[in-house]
Amino acid sequence: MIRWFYLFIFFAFLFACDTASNVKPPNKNYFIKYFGGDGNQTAVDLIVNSDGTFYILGNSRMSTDSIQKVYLAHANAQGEVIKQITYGAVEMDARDFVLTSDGKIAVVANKGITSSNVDILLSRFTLDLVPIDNALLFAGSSNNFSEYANSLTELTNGDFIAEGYVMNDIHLFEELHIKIYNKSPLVMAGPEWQQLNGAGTHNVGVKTFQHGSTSYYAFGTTNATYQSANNKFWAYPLPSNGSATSNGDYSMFENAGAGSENNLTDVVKVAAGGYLLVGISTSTTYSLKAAVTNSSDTAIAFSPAGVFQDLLLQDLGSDNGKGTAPPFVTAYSSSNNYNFILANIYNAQSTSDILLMKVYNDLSTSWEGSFVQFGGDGDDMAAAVSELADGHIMVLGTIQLGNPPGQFKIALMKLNSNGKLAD
Amino acid sequence: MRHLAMIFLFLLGVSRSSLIAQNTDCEQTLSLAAAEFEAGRFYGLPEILKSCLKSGFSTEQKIRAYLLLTQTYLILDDPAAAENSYLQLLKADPEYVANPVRDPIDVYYLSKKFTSTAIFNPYFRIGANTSLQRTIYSLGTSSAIDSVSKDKTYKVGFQIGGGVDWNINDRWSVSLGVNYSRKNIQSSFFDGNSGYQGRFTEKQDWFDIPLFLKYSFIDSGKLRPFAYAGIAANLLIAARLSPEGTDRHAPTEGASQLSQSPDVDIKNMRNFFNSSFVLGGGTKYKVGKNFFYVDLRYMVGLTNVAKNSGFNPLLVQFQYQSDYFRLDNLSISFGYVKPLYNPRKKKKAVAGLMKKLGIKKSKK
Repeated sequence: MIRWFYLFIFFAFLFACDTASNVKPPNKNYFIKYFGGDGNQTAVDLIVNSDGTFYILGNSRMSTDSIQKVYLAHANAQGEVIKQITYGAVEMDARDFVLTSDGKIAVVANKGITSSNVDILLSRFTLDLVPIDNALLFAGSSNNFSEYANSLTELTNGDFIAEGYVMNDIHLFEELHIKIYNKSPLVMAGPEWQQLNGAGTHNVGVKTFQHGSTSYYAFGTTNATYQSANNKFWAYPLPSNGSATSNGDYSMFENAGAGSENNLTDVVKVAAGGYLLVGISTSTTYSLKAAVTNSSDTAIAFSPAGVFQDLLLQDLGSDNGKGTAPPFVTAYSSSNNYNFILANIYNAQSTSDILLMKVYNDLSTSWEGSFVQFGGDGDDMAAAVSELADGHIMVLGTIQLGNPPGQFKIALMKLNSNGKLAD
Repeated sequence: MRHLAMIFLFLLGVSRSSLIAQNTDCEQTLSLAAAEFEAGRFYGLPEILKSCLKSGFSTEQKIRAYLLLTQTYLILDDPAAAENSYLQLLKADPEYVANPVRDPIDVYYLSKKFTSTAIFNPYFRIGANTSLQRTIYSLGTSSAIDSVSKDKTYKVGFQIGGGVDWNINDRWSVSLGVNYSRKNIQSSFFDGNSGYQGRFTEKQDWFDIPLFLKYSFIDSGKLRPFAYAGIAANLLIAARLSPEGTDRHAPTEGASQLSQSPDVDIKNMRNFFNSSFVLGGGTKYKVGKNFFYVDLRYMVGLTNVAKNSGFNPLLVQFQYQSDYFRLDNLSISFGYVKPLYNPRKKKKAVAGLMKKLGIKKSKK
């Protein structure tokens, strides 16, 4: 009997060969993939599809003397490009995109950003990234000012609201919410669906949400005076006709510390109710500021006394004399009662890295050490974060590659549920 | 000083003359013994040869003397003394093989009871090697995989080590060795989509511990070819990567930017314990009682050498992500074998061992 044991041991060793059939494929559970061709590409936004594929939005500049175009890519579940396109005949700045309920990709970008009259371009594509139509969006009827979009929201009836700001002759920055009807071709709504004259001189819209069938909440930043004249997170309701009623409808979420400038950069709806607002609090250094409103959607107190349910401040370092990456924070709210926050964080090597943080709805942090950090020697920047149904985290960012750092590339990372590039 | 040199030369001359004289005397003694044997006067032979056997015979003369004594004792029907004499003969020449044509037939049959095969053959080896990465999963950071071409280049390393053969019999032996190996591998890729080219040379330090069964095709003569097969434990003790990247389109279209770095420790991307299947062969060349040998060995890597190390600077600085791979290794070594000869009467030790190991059934 024992001789068979020896033979078994021998042959078990002999044939215990690692092959693709018995080694788990590593690129299915985690990966980092760089997107873009020649030149510099920067990441903007990410859509995770139910079939496991991804749409990636970014900007691409082939060389230093060429114009910046919008970059749009479709990738499979392993982060491999299925198709990628660029578009734009003048300097473009992609801002946001959505997968529409009628099966299209709608992209909002700022057009002609180096010109004196910037406009917003809304473009639609098939899911195979074939262009369908587009519409140029601007405030007023004579298109005299520069309009900038920050986000795009699809409404329940298929229409869109592009949220942003306009630089006009009244205030330096004025909130802007342009409604676009879902027609073929796209049609911009009337002037009531355009700008809101805020109480401050710096009023910037970030994101609009549909609340009920015909009313909307918009979020942004204002320097309207409340407790102080500094920038502060700002929310305001929009009625069915898009026209704000009065300044009294504003809800100004004051900063946590005196002397700080608080600029909202993203808002997401929390599954359990309420909204998660994230932005940058600037004093001598940068801090990540996150706040969750009251969990009751209707109980957002649209008054200057509107307060946060919870508040988180995370030091992001200072960019004084450091890299070129601007401060930025974005968020994703999971249906599992936690949220991910992605931000630029400034490291000791004078460049920015990408910070990923998991927080519960009370904004308590989940991971040991509060957050994980990704980056190299160059300026690495956050763009978007999402979650797959199996708990994997998808992070989109911009990585400056090379040693010394050279080109910027869009980086898509698939991480485990602990934010690690591992199984 | 000059006087000392002269004294040394004088003493050397005296010593050499004495040795030649002694050899001449012992040659006469041996001739006398042979004559006595031919004359049938056997009883006095041991006494005749005794002094020269103690001191004076050359190795070749000792062989002849002990052969004569063996024959004598066989004739005198003293098998114990005959066996002892033959044993002494084998100690003088462990590779002596009785020949029925050349030697008396009774000596030939007596010789069958003996073996001088070394139980252990320690050896030392040194040589060069090259390694082949066999990809399990091709990994990379480029999203445009259709635009990526990969290449692997053979690099030369070296190895040094030793071991010991445990001779089961004249033909079969089990060998256990320990080698330190420097194995070098190089991989490169070109991403046509982004115009980035990376080249990565990795220097790995290993302790290879092969265990194999060796068969010698010929057990006499100058050249003795052999072949073997077995397994090896391969311990990867260090791995360093020399990365180099060229961005062909940075910082502007048509320009190139080179990325370089000092060697990077990537041990955390590699598995420490690996195993392989060992195949090899070569030939030994007899010089005196020992051997020089040349050995060609192929180790078929069985285990995945690479492992994930999470987010690391090489991903960013050089777009480097290691494939999952097994590592084969082809080596040629030159070595020296010093058999530890042990002339002895044959026993059935091997058969007993086989039984103990359960490889051979006991007869009931």
